[in-house]
Amino acid sequence: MSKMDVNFFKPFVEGTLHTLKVQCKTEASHGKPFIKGKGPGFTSEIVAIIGLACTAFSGTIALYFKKETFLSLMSNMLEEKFIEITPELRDGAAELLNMIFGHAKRVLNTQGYDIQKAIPNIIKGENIEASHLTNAPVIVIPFTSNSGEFFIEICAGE
Amino acid sequence: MTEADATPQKPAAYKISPFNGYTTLVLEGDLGPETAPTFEADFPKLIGPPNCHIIVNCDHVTGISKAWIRLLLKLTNEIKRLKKEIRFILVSYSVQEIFLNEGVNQAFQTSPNLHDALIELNIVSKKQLDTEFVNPFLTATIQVLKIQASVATTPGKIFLKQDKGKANGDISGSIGLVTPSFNGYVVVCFPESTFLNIMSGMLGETFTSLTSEIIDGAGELINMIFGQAKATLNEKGYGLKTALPSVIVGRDHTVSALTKGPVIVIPFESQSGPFFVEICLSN
Repeated sequence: MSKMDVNFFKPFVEGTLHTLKVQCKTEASHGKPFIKGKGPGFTSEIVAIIGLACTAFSGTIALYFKKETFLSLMSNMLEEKFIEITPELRDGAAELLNMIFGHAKRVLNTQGYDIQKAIPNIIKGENIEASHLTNAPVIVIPFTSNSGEFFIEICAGE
Repeated sequence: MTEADATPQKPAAYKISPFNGYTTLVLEGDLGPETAPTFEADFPKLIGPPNCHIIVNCDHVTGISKAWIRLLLKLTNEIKRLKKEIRFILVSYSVQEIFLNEGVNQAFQTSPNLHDALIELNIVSKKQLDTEFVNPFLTATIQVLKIQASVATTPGKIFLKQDKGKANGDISGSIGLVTPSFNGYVVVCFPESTFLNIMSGMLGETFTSLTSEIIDGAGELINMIFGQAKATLNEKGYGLKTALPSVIVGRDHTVSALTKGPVIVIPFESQSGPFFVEICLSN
């Protein structure tokens, strides 16, 4: 199967839009993807990272939120107003990524990618930056929504 | 030219290793008829005392001749007569096809990997398996830091992270775990001072802040720890896949997981300072 091309990350974009709409009742739209380092840098307060393996390559998907955006999305999802990221909300970030990934995995596996995923880990802190150990380009897809902006990163390695 | 004095150009077709409660038979490459007689001669190692279950690791099999199929079937029947079980693990699609074509797909029972086979055959409890899985990571951490950074480390008491969010650090290296039957992740979390000390030792230069030059070091360390643990675990038949490491930087961040499975934390002490290794497994 081909490595990192638009066919690979399109299902993640669709998964994100769909999941946010259904789970968080939030309409989101995506901007133009760019290669990490060649576009605006960003830091986050909460990041969900999941590893994946398929026949041709291994990779990572990361979902980055700023605190306010995340609180707004979670408030929509759970129909309660949150002002702090509690452990329950942290789980919410993993669940969102699991759902986004689940959607993409179903689509990609019908195309023959045979993807298996690891367990997402959630990082919470201040000014978090993440990087991936690969020489291949890391694709960043910016999203905007009523809750604020957020990013998905997709990368693959040998 | 006899087989005895031929210089082995390709790896041996098989390897038999005894473990506690089971014996593994690792099969390698193209199993041609020329190696079948030697294998048959080694049957006593598989079906003699101490009479254990057999786990046949097919991860590196590229072909199986009829002679080998006949012998594996014979082995299967003999082990069943002794009221023990045999499981074929890490069976690829093409090997499954061979079994089907030779009419042995019903006779040869498969399991996704060693982990599942051991649980199915009731040889070890899930808890013991988790410990077995964690130990290579512990050993690898000690070895990698010793060899790469000349840092001696001591593991502390391993604990289960009941209260999610206890392991924290300023810089972490994380890598996903994917096997045919379960998955998870492993993270190494460092406070900034420990990491700077380790990097300084590793690169022979004094570093006083987290620059982009050394940040990748966290990813490389977890990659090496993972690589070494993976080699050990895959020799046994876990079928762990290659993964891509990530590095997270953020002052006093916490790492947590959404899982009902165990989250195992190994605290380490070293002359460079303390740090954690956390392993999270699906249930």
